[in-house]
Amino acid sequence: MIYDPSASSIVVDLLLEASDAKSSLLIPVVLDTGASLTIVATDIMAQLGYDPANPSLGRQRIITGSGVEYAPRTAVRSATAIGQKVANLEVLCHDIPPESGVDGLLGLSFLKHFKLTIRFRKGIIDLNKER
Amino acid sequence: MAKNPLLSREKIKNKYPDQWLLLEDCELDASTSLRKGRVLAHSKDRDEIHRALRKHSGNLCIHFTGSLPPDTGVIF
Repeated sequence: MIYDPSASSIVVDLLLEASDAKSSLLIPVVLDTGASLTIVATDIMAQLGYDPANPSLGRQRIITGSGVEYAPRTAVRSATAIGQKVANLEVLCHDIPPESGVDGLLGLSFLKHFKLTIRFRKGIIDLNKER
Repeated sequence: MAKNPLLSREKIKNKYPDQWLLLEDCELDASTSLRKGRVLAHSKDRDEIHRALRKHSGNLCIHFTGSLPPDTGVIF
């Protein structure tokens, strides 16, 4: 896929399948190889039927640039980005500031399933299955 | 009520600059990137789009047509 190499961050679209498998939602996320997990805004996860307020969900300790926080962790039925799909993807429900222009982060819990190549000068990303 | 027209990503960006949008009937390319969509709601405020999302169902898309100011960096 092609992205704007002059942009401050690499934004891609992430397609999330709802918990009932009857609908889906595409959201903008930052590709972040420094993030252990994929993060999706709490409102979005609730709309998709994953109930981030459920007290039975595990809470993940996360270390951010500004400190340590805890966020609910759950799995989405499937997530697709850059042409590749992962089933039962672990996701943290956590809000990213709206000024970022995204609704989440695409982290290693998704990216680790593939071979990722980023050509920064040309603005080209390839995400392929390892052979 | 008549639906809004199906617009390409480029036309959406030109018509709704620096805005958050909620779209339906979205077409994606092989990279899972938005190609076309029909605008259901648009706003400068992301929370308004999240609220609009609660009123709709089916296969939907959230899209932001803006970009960070050139003097702003991002770390998460």
